[in-house]
Amino acid sequence: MEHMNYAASAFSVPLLLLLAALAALLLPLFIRALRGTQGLMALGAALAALTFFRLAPQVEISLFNGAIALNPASAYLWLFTLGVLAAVLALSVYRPPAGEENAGEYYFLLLLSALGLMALIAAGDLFTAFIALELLSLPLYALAGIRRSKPGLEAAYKYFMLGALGSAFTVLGIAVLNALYPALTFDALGQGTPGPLALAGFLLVISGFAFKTALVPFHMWVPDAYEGAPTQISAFMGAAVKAGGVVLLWRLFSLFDGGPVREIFWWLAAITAVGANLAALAQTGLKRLLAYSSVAHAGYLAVAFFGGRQGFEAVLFYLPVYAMATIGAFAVALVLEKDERGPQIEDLAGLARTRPWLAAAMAAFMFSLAGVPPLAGFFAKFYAFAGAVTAGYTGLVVIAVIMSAVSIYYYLRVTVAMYMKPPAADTHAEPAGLAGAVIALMAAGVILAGIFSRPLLAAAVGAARWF
Amino acid sequence: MILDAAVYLSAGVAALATLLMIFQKNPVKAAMLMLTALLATAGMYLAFSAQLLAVLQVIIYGGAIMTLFIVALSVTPQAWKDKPVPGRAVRVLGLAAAAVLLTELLQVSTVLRAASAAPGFSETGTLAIAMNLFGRFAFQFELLSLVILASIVGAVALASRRTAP
Repeated sequence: MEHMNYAASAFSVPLLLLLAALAALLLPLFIRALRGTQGLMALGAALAALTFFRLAPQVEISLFNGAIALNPASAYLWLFTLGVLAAVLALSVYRPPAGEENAGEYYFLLLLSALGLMALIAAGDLFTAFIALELLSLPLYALAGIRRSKPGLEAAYKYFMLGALGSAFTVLGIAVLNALYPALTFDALGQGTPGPLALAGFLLVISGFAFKTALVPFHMWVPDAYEGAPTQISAFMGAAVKAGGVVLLWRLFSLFDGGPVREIFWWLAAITAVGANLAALAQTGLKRLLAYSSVAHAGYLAVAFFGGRQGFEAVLFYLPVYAMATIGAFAVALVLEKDERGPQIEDLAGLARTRPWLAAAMAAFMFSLAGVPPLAGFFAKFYAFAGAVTAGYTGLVVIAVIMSAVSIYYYLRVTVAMYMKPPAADTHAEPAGLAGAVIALMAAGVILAGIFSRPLLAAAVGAARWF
Repeated sequence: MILDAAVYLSAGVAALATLLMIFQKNPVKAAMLMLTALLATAGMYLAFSAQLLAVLQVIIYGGAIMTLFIVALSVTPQAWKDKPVPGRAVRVLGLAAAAVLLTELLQVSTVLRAASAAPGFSETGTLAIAMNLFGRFAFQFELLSLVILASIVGAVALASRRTAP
């Protein structure tokens, strides 16, 4: 009884978001006074959901014939989703990315995408996970191009085409797996050693989700999509879509004790860490730099998988830490944005003198992403790599650590530009407003989760047991 | 008796329309002939008392997929003119592929002739699908409706004309 109460209260969260989405889409059409308030409706719903969110009891509650499984791990990730959503909504209210006439659609699509992520996190079987993945991705294709400018439409087109290819792989793999495992639940998929046909199915599904997570060589869409999409949406893609893909990949990865799937993951993680970091070195645009950085972090997360249970604890710690730094960095990019492609790195020159707090926060995000102690990013990387070393994958960790050292170069370039270069002639002095609040929160999170990493780590450890 | 006649009639219409479609040069007329073939196939299913299959054939193939064809034709006008004459090698290859397909079809049909009809064929259908759709897969079905809604809203947001400059 108590559990059903919990399930009802947990389910009120996505229902609230759905209601807000429909309200933002439809109400302003009929009530003129509500036009322009869609962002506040959505933000209010997200904040209300965040405030009244209840953590799960220590059981797994299976709903809808096993389609949805609520447990502490899904609750942890739902909370993460709501946090990301609230931050992105605040950034969207700060500077609306879509025109007045498209505001309703914008918030509707963003909220539906978040719903898709929540369903993906709680999915009990592969079939539901696929539909949830589509609900997560489809609105984002449209959101990437919602400004209908040339770079935006190019981003949307590339993202859609490659995303559709990834979805086609996934659905083909699910069809193969469905022939062998009629139930398609994650428990059923783990039964017995898979034959060649099952392996083919698993590899197809994994490559489909690798598209969404942006592991090299499935990352081709990332730089253009992140650059051309509205900066708020880039932040959402970096933080939320990656989390969904990583959770699903972990659930598939953890089905195998060894064999070809692990080997392929080994190579994916290694190529991603090397390729993304080397490509990031050559970037001049801040958003493109963050795009390659997000690919590189997907590689580190894949390295963490090899630590087994301990590795997944690290992943659950890593995701919010990475999301805070990425959202913060994109928020800074948004504040400094002059045109659609976002600021170049040289546009940040002299920021320490003109806007010291903004520069300090950006430096914190960059150092956290690079993994410099005592910021949270260091501990995230440390736990991620420690698990893999314990499990005996020292070679992979050595590659990741070397590439992580390479990454310090390009993160440092941003900081050097801010602190050691003279300010450019036309410093863009847009007041930070609501974005400033988001940046301050994220910076505080990155610093506090580094100095006092225990509570977040304890929460991650508690949640990781359930997947 | 009358059912047999219906089967042969619709099968004949389908075959004839398909043949005409292959030799039709105008793409829109070809699409219409294909639609005729698809609808005639639906009629054949109906004569075999596979009602659900017939309805799905009309809705999905006759409705959705044909609409897609027509829309694709109307937005790519250059495809109307662009008709290179195939070379000899291509024609021979095409004929060879057709011959292979024909032999395969003949073989399959002899095998099928030997097999007895599945019992209860006409009972499988609407009810079983509805039971799954609204029972076991109700959640996924509802989730899909959100996916479709999001796609529609996204498509409208991308395609609608800007009102403000």
